[in-house]
Amino acid sequence: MAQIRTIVFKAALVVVALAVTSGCVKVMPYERGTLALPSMTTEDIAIGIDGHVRGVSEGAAGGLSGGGGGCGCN
Amino acid sequence: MKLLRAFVTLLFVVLLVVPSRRAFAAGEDAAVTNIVDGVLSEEYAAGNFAPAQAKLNDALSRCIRKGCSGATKAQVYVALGMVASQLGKADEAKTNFTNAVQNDANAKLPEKGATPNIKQQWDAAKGGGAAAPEETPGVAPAGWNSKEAYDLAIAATKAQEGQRYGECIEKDKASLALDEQPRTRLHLASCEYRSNKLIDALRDSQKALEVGIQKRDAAVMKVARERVKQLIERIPKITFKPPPGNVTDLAVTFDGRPVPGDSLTKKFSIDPGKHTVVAEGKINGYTAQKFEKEVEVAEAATVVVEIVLQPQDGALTPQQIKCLEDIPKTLPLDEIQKRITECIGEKKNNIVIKLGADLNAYTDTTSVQVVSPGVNGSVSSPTSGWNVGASYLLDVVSAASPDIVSYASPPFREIRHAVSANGGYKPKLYGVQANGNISVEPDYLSLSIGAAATADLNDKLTTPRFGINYSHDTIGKGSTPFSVYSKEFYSTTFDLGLTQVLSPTTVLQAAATAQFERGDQSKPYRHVPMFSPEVAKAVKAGATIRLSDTNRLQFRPLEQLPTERDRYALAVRLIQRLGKSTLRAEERFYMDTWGIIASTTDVRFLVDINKRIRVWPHLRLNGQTGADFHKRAYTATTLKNGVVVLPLYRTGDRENAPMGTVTGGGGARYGIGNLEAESKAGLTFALDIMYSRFFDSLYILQRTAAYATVAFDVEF
Repeated sequence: MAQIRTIVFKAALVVVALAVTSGCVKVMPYERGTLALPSMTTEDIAIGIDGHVRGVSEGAAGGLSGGGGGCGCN
Repeated sequence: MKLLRAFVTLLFVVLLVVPSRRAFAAGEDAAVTNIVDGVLSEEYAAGNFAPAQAKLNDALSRCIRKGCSGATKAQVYVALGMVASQLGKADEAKTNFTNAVQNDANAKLPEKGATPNIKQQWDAAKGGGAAAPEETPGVAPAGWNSKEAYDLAIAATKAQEGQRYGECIEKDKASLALDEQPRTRLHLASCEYRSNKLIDALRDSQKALEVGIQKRDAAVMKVARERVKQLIERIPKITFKPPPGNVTDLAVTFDGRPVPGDSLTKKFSIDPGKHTVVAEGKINGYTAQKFEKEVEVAEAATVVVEIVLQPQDGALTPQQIKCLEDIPKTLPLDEIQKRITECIGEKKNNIVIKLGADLNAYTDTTSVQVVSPGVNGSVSSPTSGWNVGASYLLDVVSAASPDIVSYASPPFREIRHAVSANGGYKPKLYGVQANGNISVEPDYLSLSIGAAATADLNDKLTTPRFGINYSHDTIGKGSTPFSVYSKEFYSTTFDLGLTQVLSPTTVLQAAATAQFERGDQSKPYRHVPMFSPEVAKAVKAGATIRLSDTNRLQFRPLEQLPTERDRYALAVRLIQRLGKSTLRAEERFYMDTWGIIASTTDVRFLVDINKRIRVWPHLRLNGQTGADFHKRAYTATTLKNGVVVLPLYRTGDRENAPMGTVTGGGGARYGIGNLEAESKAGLTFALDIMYSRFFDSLYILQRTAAYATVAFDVEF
């Protein structure tokens, strides 16, 4: 079981690394208008009681808790 | 002798000084004759019969007061008769003609202006002549081709007398459509002039002149010519001065009508009064330049409207654009940013305040209900880089804490207060954020603090994040004071994240979380049923409470969880803009030292219907294995010495058991008020339905929950 877990995690790390590094293009400042749209925020957009319900009704926890950045803006 | 001389002298003086009645009359004759001639050549010829009648009546009164000759009075009566005939007052016309004949047997109609009808009426009044034919219904009077046109013209005249110029114009136009009469045309021009429609009055006066020339009607020609001359002098004019510079696609409208571009500098004749000029165009190829002005134009004025295009709200001026274009691209990024700020200028409002309030509700099939209102607010300075915020939440729960899914406890109402505060500072590329939270219930107290640091690298396209959070919980039981009974529980969380902009429309986030929990977090209210090994094998998933109580062993120990738990999660989030929509897809892999492995997928598709409305469907899938120590039916054995051997770890929490959850729902946000204003507000609705399936738990196999949120937010 421990071996399986290790394999799963390593695979996930590789996937993430590939996703992050592949397909990157240089985005100029004047091309970042779309990234500033409200729906493109890197923050969690769940509102109200959503996060609390997830926390108490699922056995898992953690993950994305807010990234910051993402629009090339302050 | 002396007396006779005095009498003769006196008589001479009287005769010399005091004019004779005849002399008096002769003076008034000339004045009244001039008045009559003037009326006939102007008001009468122009079809202005009411003013004509008034002037003639004044002249008659003058004659009566000051004395006129019979011939002069007859002229006045003749003119009054002609006016009355034109007004359709046949009896009055006859009376006036009769008076004229009585005052002067040699009275006659003037050479011009007498219609056949008037001539007949005059003949009848002179006596012996054929009586003026009575109007035959449906037959046009003499000089007219259409009875209906005649009636309309009479109606127009009455409307003018009542100063109802709109009705006058309408009736005259209808009459002219049936029968083109120059006097009707002049009458129409007269009403149009009184309505300030000088352009229309000029056009109709010119047409009346044309018709008068065709019909060789000298009276009409004279009046029309004078009217045209007056109108030409009184009609105001407007011209435009185009904006300077490299202006393209210039479109100018005057009272909503387009003005040809190549005619802008020409003079246009317009009516006096208020007018609106609107212009749009591009300067140096940049749009959003507009001009709008209301001008008040007086009679005979010539107005020059200078068009000055201005950028609309939010658009840059040509000077600002030039300033931005002059910034060297080889400068460092922070220097470029500084120069951009200088070009655009400091924003007047450097502070952004956000306030929000929401109301949440939850209910599920295990009889748990929660109502949770909350408020939040923040103040930030985007240019300075600092922010502070706070929130307050109230949970009114109908079941036991610390979680809202508690089936093993008797139902009761509990209230939880949660307060949080946060603040951060990120002046340039590096920033820090801190937060603190307090959650208070009668049997649970949670205190937590956290901090995170971010850095904008690679021209702000790559943003790593490191965060740490520490919480200290005190778990009590019922209303027992913490000093009497409590357990401590600690949790330390480290998270490492990375945000990468992949393209102008794509962002990828990845995060890894490691959470270390220490302390006894067992539920103090949860008793776990024990079974003999033989009975435990037969207990199926979803076995009812009655079945369990009937077959379990006598003792029901409390739940006991391991006092250590290490939890790891790895998550990725893809944010992709697709046209007017945004796809947000997240995947999380989880595992912990309790043996639980989980996968969670969450997808939202946000659609911008327009600037004001955004809607989104939502789908979430979660599946997990159970903890190593989870059992559907725990077994206990009693040793020969009577000691009961219980499992070291035992739990009745379904979230530690194998389970799957599907959540579906959606939401919408509606922008309120003026979206371009500095203050913006919005209303958000969200509703989700969650279905959970428990594969290896007692009592229930499934649970359905619904939760909704209504939120209001404002930013200024």
